[in-house]
Amino acid sequence: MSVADDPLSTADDPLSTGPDLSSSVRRRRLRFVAGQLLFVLATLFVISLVMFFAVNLGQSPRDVARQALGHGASIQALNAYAHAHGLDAPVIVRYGRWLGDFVQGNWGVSAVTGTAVRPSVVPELGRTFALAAITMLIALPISLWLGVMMARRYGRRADLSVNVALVVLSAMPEFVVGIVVLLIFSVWLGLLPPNSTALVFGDLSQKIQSFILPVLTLVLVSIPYLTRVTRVAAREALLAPYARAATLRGVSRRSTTWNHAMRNAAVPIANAVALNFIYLLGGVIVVENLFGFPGAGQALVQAIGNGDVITVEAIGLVMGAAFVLVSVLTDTLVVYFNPRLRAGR
Amino acid sequence: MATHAISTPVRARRRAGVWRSMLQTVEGRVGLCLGLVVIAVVVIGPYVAPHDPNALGTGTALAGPSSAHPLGTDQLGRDVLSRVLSGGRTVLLAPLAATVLAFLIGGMSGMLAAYRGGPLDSGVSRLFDLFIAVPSLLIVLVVITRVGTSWPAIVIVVALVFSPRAGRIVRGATQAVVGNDYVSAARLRGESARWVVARELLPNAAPAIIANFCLYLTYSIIFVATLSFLGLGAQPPSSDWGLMVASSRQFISVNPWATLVPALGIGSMAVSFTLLGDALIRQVSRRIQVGGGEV
Repeated sequence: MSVADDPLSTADDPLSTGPDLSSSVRRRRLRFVAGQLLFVLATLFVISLVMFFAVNLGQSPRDVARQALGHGASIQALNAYAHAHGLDAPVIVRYGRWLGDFVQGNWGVSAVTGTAVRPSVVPELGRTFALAAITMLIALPISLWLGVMMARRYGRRADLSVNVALVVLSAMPEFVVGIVVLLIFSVWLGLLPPNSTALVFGDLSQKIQSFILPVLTLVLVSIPYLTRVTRVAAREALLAPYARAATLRGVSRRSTTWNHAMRNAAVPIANAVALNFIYLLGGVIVVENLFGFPGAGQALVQAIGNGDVITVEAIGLVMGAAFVLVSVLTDTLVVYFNPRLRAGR
Repeated sequence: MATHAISTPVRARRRAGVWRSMLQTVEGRVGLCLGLVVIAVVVIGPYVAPHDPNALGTGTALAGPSSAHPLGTDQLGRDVLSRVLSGGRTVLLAPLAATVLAFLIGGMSGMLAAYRGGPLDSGVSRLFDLFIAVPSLLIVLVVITRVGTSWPAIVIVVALVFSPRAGRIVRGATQAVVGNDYVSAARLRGESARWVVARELLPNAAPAIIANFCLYLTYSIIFVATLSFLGLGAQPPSSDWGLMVASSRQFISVNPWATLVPALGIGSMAVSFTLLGDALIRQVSRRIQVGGGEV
C-alpha cells in the first residue's frame, strides 16, 4: 500500500515531521532559532564584559606586572613587563585580545601560581559539569513524577501538604540544606565522608561516595522549582480537551498522562529546566565549597581569595558560557520539536 | 462600574481584605508567626545575649551544650548562643536594603515601560530578560572581589543584580492594571504621568508587588547569606549567621550546634518571608480571578 492511499497517512497532518513542512513554518522555526542564537550571543557578551572589566578596571598595568614580578621590581622592569604583555594598550583593545586568545584556547598563565591556567582548570571544570549533569539526571525524573502525582490530586490534602513542604525547601539556601544533609549522613549516621576531597586520589568507590552528598544536596534544592512547574503544567494539560478525549477513547490513564498530556506540558517544563541550569551554576559553587568538592566552583572561590585574576576570568567565562548554552539549548530544542510551534501559536 | 470613583475608605477596606484573608490560610499564619519570632530574635537578641559575642575563651573551645553555654562554644571558645543572638542583623538588614533598592530601580523603569508602552516597553523588557539570563552568583562573586566586601558595596551590587527581576515583576503587575478604564480616564483628564503612577497604578498594582517583594526578600536573604558563607560578605569577627556556618563547618562533628543553629536561623528567616509571599500571591491572584480587572 502506497502512502497516498493509506487513510491513516500522516502526509497531510500538520503535526507530522515530513519533508512537506510548509515554508512559512520553516521560516518561523528559523526565526525562532535565530532569535535564541542572538540571545545567547548577547548573554555571553555581557558575561565576558563583566568578567573582563570587573577584573581589570581600576587596576593599572603596573599592578598586574607587580603581581607577576614581585614587589621589589623596578619601575622600568614593571613598564617593560606591561609593554611586553600588551597591558599598556587601551582597555577595549585588551578586551579584544583577551577574548580572541581565550577562544583560541590560550587561557593565559596565572600570575599567582605561575602555571598555565588551562591544564589545571579543565579537570576541575569536568568534575563540575559532571556534578551538574548527574544532579539533573536524578532531579528531573523525580520532579516529573512528583509533579504529575500532585497534579492528579490537585487541591487535595496530599497535594497541598507536599506543596507546602516544597515551598519551605525552596526557601532554604543551598548551604543550609547541605549542612543538614552533612549532619545526618556523615556526622550522625556516619555513612559517608564529610568531604569530597577523595575524588582526586581515591579509588572508584571513594570517588562515587564523594559525589553522593553534593548530588543529594543539589537534587534537593532543584526539586521544588521543577516539581511546582511540572504540577501546574501537568494540571493544565490534564484538563485540556485532548486529554479528556483520550480518556473517553479508552486510552489508559498512564498513556493519557505521559503520551498525550505531558507532551504538551513539555514547553513550560523545559523552560524550568533551562532556568534551573542557571540556578545550578550558583548551587555548584556553594556545594563544592561546602563539601570540599575539587571542582571549578571551589577553584573559583579560591582564585578570588588569592586575587588570581586570570584564573577567575577563565573559570568564570567557561562556567558562565557553558551553563547559559545548555540552558538556552534545552529551551530551543523542546520548543523547536514541539508540534504547537509548527501548527502556529 | 466606575472604579475610579470609589472613595478612599472603600479602597482601604479592600486592601485590608487581602491581608485578612491571607492570615486565614495556614501558610500565612505560620509565615507570620515564624517571621515575628525571627525578627524578635534579630532585634532583641543582642540585648539579652549572656556573653559578649566576640569575647574569646568564655569556656573550653568547642564544648558541647552545658548550662553555662546552652549551645556550646566555637573553636575560639566564644559562646555560640550569644553569637547567634547578635548575628542576625546583617542577615536581615543588608538583604532588606538591597531588595528595597532593587524594587526602586527596577520598579521605576518597569512601571514607566508598562505605562508608556511601545518601543520603550519592548526595549526595556528585552534588557531585563538579558540581564536575568546572566548567572548572578558568578557575576556578583567577581564584582565583589573588585569593589570590596563592605556592606554598602554588597547592598548595591545585590540590588543591581535583582533590579531587572524586580523590574519585570513590576512591569507585569502594572500592565495588568494599565489597561483599565480609570487609567485611560485619568489620562484623558490630563493628569500628569507622575499623578497617574502614584494615584492609580501604584495603589492598584501594590498587592502583587508586595507579594513579590516578600519572595525577593527571601532570594536576597539567601543570596547575601551565601556570600557571607563563601567569605565574601560579612568579615570576621562578625557573628553574621552565614559567616558562623562557614567558620564552624570544619568542626561540625565536634559541636554541630555551632553550625546547625545559625544555618537554621537563616533558613527560618527565609522560609517565613516565602510563606508570607506565597500566601499573599495566592490571595492576589484569587482576587483577580473573582473580581475581574477590579483589583
